[in-house]
Amino acid sequence: MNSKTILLVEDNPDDELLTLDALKANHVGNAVIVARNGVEALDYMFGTGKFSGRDVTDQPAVVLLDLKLPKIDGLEVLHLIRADERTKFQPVVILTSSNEDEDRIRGYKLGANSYVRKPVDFDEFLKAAGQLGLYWLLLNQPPPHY
Amino acid sequence: MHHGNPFSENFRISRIIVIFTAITCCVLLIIFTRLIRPYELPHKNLIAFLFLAIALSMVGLVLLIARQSAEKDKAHSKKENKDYWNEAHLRALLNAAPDAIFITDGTGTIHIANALAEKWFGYRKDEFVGKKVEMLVPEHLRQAHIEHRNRYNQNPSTRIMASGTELVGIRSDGSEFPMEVSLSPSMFGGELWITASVRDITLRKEMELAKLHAQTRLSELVTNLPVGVFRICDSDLAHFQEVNPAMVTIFAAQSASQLLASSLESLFFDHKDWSTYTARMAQQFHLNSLEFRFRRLNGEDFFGFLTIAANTINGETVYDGILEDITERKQQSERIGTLNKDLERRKTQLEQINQELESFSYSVSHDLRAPLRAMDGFSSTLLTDYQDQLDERGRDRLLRIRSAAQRMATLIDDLLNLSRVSRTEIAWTPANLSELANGIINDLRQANPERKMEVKIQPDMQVKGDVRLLGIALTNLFNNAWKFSGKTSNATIEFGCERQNDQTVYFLRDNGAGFEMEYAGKLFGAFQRLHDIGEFPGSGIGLATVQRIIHKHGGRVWATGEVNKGATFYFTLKS
Repeated sequence: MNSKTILLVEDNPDDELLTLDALKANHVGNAVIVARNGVEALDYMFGTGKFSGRDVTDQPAVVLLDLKLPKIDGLEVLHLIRADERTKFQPVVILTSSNEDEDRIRGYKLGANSYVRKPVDFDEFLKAAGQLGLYWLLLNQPPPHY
Repeated sequence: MHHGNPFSENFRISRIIVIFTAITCCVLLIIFTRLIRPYELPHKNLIAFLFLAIALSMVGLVLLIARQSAEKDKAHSKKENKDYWNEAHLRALLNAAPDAIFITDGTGTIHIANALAEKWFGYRKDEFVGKKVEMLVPEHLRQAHIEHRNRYNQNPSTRIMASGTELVGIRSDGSEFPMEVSLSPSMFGGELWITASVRDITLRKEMELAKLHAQTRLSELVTNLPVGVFRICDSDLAHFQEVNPAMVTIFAAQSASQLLASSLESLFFDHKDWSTYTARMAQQFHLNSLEFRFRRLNGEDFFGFLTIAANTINGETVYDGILEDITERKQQSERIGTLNKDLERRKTQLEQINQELESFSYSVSHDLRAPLRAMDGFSSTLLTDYQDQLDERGRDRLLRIRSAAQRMATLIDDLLNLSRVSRTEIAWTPANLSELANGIINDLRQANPERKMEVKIQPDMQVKGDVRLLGIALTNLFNNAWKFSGKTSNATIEFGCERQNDQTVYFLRDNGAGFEMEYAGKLFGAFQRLHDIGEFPGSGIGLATVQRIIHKHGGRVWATGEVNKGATFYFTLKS
């Protein structure tokens, strides 16, 4: 795997731990940055607040974005990422418990690259995490710097 | 034509007689001279001379009479010009008259009748002549007519149509008709002649009657109308001039006269309204459905719509109007208003509840799953990472935790589906059940490649319905069939349709575990299970979801089954 980072936007510490475990179990060794709410996620993307001074030309290979988040929710985060010239092509995968049609439609409308529902069955979750890592870190070619 | 034109008739006859006599004499002379020529008769020449003299004197007489009669004719035609040479004309005039005309003598005997007389009474001319005029009136009126005629004869005068008596005439076929008769007497040759003009007034009578009926109907209409109808006269603007019974009722008056005696001003509840009324009337002379508050004579107030229009009748301006008591309507519209507000409030409430339900479902979907994921996930990591330190029992308990967590996740999903089905508005489109079924079977085969299953799906089952919901229903039914025939060898699933009582019934048949028919009614209740979880897993919500979807499509769903023989699920859809 390459040196690209993964931004995991997740407010639930259990889910965070499970996701990290699942990625580790799939031998995804890349650095995973965790943002626990929408504001932190945006700060990371735009090098503001807690992450001011960060080199924003070095963006994560993929953002794993939960929808239900404190402060600014996932869909709003997605909207702001897409609205900014610097981040409009950023690969974003919605990783959520929700399977509401409405969420899926709005997610895709706002330009999500993928929509993955977190399975309760950990075996399934492992598979999903493995495939996500494989796809977004190795297979997928990110947009060039622009 | 006996007494008709005696002069001209007599002259003509006498002229003919004289000419005839002269010719006869000449002929006799000729015959006689021929006859006696062969004989030698004494005084033959004298006799011939005599005959000749007679013939000549006859010719002279003829010429004399002819001259006399010509002179007489001339004198007569000078004196009575019209009667004499326009007789045919007179007759034509009689026939062209718009009335039936009879000329009778003083005894009531008909001498002349014109063409309309023939037509209206249905007799030929000669059937009239010589008969009494009483033939033209019905039997029971004849005696009175005779008396009437006799009275008239004592003092005959011209009686024109307008003052004419209306009589009843009888036709030759016995039918009667109303007629109007005018009489004009004339003296001729010392005799009384009466010319009677008779007019058939059936049509006029009918029109008069129709007009009367129309007037009666109109006045009945005004009388019976449930709205107040009134007239105010320009000469007294402070009172009603006429009111219909509804006005009396509306104003709770004892009688029309009591209402007529009340001043209009006193009938307005508010002085403001009275001012408006008078101002509007002064400006425009009409009102169009204006709402006023009135006062009944018993003091009660009521709201009414007032409409007034000005009319001119015989040169006088009158104001005709209608008044409608709208108290009840107002109350009703108030009630409707209250109901509407109530409905609006309930609608808002319902919308609120729905919104809460939505967000509740969302929370359930999202938040309830997270802890389950943690339970399953950490159990799993324990099993993996600490497998050396766990004995069989420990591993078993962790597996049970995982299985319970997953079951609960399924339960939550199923429940969410069920509630989503209830909330979904049906989008009616054409749907192909066969295609849907094939897709579901393909998914099942892919998920369970080890299962051998014979599947028969009738092709091209076209219906109308919500494709997504029908898909959910079929998925549940096929999942059941698939699941409950898991322990059956030669497992077969058949999906098709048949006509039952003029209705298309779709069925899904399996030869799996089946069920006891006595529990058939419980199949479709939420959380109802007829099998042990260990034997056949499931939430018990699938068939409840199926039922809701089918009901939403206006259909019915039912099932038959036999233990270890299989089950058949039937459903119908609104055609």
